[in-house]
Amino acid sequence: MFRDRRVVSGAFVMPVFMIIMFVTLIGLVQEKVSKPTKPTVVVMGMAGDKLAATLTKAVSSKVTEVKTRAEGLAMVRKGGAKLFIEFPPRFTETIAKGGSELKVTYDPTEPLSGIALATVREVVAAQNQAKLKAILIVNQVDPKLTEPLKLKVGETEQPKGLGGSSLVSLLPYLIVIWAFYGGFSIVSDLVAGEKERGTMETLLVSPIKRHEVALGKYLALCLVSLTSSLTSLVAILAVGALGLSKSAFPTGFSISLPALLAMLATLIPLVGMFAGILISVSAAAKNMREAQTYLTLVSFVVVMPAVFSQFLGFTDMRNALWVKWTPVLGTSVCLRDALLGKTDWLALLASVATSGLIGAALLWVAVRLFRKETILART
Amino acid sequence: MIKTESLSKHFQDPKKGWIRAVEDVSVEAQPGKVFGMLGVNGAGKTTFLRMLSTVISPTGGKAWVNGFDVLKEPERVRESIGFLSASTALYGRLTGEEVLEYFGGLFGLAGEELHSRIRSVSQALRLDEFAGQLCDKMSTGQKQRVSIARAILHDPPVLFFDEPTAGLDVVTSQTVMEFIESYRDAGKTIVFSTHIMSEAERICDHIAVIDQGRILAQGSKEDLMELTSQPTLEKSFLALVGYRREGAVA
Repeated sequence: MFRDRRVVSGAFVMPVFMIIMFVTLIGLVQEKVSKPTKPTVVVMGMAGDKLAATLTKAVSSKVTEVKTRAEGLAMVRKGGAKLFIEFPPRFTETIAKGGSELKVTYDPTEPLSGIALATVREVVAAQNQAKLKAILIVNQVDPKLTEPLKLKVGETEQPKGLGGSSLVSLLPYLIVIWAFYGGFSIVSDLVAGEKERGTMETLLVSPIKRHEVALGKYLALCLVSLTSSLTSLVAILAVGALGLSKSAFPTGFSISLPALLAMLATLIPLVGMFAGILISVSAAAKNMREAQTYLTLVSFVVVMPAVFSQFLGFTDMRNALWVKWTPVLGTSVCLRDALLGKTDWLALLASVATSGLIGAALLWVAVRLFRKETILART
Repeated sequence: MIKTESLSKHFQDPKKGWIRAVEDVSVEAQPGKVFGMLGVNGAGKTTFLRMLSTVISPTGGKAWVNGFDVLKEPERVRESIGFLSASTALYGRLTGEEVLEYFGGLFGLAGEELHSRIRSVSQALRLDEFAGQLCDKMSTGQKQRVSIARAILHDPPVLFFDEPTAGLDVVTSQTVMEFIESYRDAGKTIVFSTHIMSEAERICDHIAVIDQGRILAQGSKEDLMELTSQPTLEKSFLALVGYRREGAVA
């Protein structure tokens, strides 16, 4: 097995490389996001106004002053600044009179520009609030009346480990992807390649039965796919346990034994299903090139539910029955739940049953294809 | 021994319709003799051998190999045969020795029996100097010697050779031919398909000329020359094939 570079690369090297790369990148992004970034702000009309200066400073420490509006807009458009603030003439005076207007321009396509705008909104709201409080005090009215309702935000208790990591949705996707691509890397050679080279004929003239040949290849494929998937899981465990990326796992890293067993229970039938798809397509193909073309097309269909699982958190569909019974998607959800330490055993059962049944049906198809004469060479 | 009665194989081609790859072939091959199938490319030789080795099923007729019915006892038939063709290949990432161990296992050999057989065929085919090399690194001749070893490892009573010298150099071809002769002398039943007249003349005790799936004539080399009143096997062959293709023989 280790003599084949495709196996070594597909089952070991690439899963480890991808996991390390993803964890490092996500950790880096998380680190940046957790520290407030000060965007560059361009202002016009500040002209020594103290209040304008205080407001600007509250938004950002990186401030550039311009003289014309066109200059300010151009800087935001080109990305040199994230926000353009236009102070009206005699800013402090107009505020004192009431009805002053602060003109702000931002780039909606730039996330940092949106963040800067939100900061300006907060600063302006705070300024208005402070002004209102001052008026109330002067008029001997309790300033607390300006805030009759206060909002107190709390978080649900997260299980120790991956709860605080933004990787928790991405890791199941990577584990599922490698369960497929591990087998994908060798399957065209395993069946269509044997057909093309003529080694299939030497196998078929031996006393072993066709279904035994199909089963042997299916199990070999399952082994490589499972190894590939488990390698990615081990890589996640290693990165977490060694603390290689603390920002990717801010609340620490731990997976319980039941969670690991739940992951394994949902992965094994998934691997069986993937092996069934891969071997059937490869057996139906005329040669390696044809097999690779078909397999690439099939991979899009197979990977789509795993991709969709990334967006489930933005919908209210996570607990929908159809999600639990949809192949690949149900498995991704189960893996995520297991990583969070809150396995839904019913969902796990649904995922195992779906993948297991489809895998068994596809193995039957593969055996039928191996019994056909076209398995020797399709012309 | 091998016997076929009206053995036929028809394929359905989406473009060409029904193709009669082998039609109504009745032959017998005896132990200690080389039975030759002589025909041009596409004549039906490979299809005939594949039916006998149970890799594909006949659409008509019957066949027995070593006393076993190819349709009813395919596993027993495969236990009894060794199959070698120019198109069969080896696993490039296995060494010659590993290939023999793997196929020996598939034929039910294990332990000391397997290793004793490997030693025996390695000695007979002079594999020792390169048996530890990966098959991908071997020369064509070395690969063909490993392929022969693979085919005879389980000491089958029947051997099928489908154009075994195609693409080989003179020296390697000579090794293959010498091996077939030695196996014939050991009392094995051998079916040898070829389109090379000199090989058929040298090695075959009985020759069946096949063209477009049908046996045109069969017998010893001398029988065929006498039948066609030609001085050589090559001319006899050409006379038979040409004669039929002109439409004189149905």
